[in-house]
Amino acid sequence: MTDTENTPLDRHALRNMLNNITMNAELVKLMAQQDVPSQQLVESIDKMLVECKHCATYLNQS
Amino acid sequence: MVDDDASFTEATAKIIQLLQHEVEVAGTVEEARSALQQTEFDMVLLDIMLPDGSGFEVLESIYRFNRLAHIAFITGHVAVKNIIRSVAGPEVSFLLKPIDVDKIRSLLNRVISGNDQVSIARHYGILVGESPAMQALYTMIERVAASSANVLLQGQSGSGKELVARAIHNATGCDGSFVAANCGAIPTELIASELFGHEKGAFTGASARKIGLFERAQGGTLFLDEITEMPLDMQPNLLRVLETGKICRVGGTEEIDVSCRVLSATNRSRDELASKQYLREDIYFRLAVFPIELPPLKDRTEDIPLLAQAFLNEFNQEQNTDYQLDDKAIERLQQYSWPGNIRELRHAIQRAHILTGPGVETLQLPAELSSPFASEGAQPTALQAGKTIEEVERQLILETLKATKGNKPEASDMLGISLKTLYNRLNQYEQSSDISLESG
Repeated sequence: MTDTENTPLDRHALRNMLNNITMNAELVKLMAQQDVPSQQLVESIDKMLVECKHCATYLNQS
Repeated sequence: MVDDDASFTEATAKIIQLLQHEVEVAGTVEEARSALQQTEFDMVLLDIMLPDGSGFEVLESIYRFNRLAHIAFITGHVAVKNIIRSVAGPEVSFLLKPIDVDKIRSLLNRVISGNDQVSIARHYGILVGESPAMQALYTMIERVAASSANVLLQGQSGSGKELVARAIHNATGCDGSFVAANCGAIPTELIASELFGHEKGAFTGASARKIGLFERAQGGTLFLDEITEMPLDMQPNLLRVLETGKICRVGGTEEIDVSCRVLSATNRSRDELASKQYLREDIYFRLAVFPIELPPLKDRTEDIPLLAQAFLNEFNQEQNTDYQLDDKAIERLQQYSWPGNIRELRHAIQRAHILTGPGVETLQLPAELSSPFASEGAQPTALQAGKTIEEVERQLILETLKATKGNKPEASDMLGISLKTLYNRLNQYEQSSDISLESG
């Protein structure tokens, strides 16, 4: 995958999505270690899934 | 935590809370300023680019209202660290994305509770050292902070004159900002404009009114480093302001009252000042109402273990390592004469940190401690002193574009901003000057 003048890949946008996935994964790990109610873990996992879909959509468009 | 990415801040704030710390989130410069006025924070996690400005604009509020807060910049790229340090000072930390829990925990522990590493006391939030020479210095800082006297700091290159200036500013508890300028870095023809500001159209290139250093330091502290590098024929202008407390912007007619403490510094000795006339006598007595001589590092060798540990903590935190100093290393550090003073020591610890391989617990010092520039020369700075926050932000963006050979997607990635934000900033610059957007 390369950047072109017509369809530049905004690596900042992509990096933000990956960072958000990372942060939520870290949060889930920490919550699991501290016996936080599973509903809160599910909410964070849902956010990761949403960001994963954003990533896929973005890459398909670039 | 000051960051405009709501998804990121929501998850990070929850992590910080689970680590048993309280956190407040601001998404804009304005929100951050408001929070800093209302709450005393131990630490500020700061994004560089924000919707209504830059993280550099938040620095002023931190220095004014939360001057003991530790500052950690959130960035996606190591390449901008040197430029940020030249603006925000050497004490700032960095959280490099992607951020994991261990990095956050390590930073919080280091700054707030000191659990993870050897805790070092920082006097006035900034100075390290417990030697008799430093205790005497702290006494002088206390006394001078209680007065409004101008201070001349004298000390060898690398002995920490700017840090002592910041310590005096912190000790005063004043409301104004700490504004630093290097007189040796300002072109002679621009000195008046930098110090006093200028009106629009005052000279060719003066496309807008500029507020000078004295006005920016209103109610605070103006630090003039390398004061002896100011040309003698410019010194009467400075003397007049020190005597009258009034400035007149270049090209202006109105006299403006200014009230700030002036701290100045030189690495010239007292004998040189007198014999070689680097300063006019009248201005010396205005600037050096309270002269303070900083001890060279060789005269406070008992502080070397503390200073070395403080620098090692910094590099350990940055690189997520846990190297330790052993007695043998400390002994070697104390035996060396450090002609480049604390700056040279920091450089040596940094080299040692890079040299030490993975899987090793003890810091490996280089075979040769000295460096060719140890005794002479000033610290290289990426920025010219006296620039405005907007100019600093602009330079950061343009330098990054230069480093990426005009590749804007790569530059925006390094800066941690969207391509759209980068183009918006460049369009602003193009409208105000002759910057071309054609490259890259």
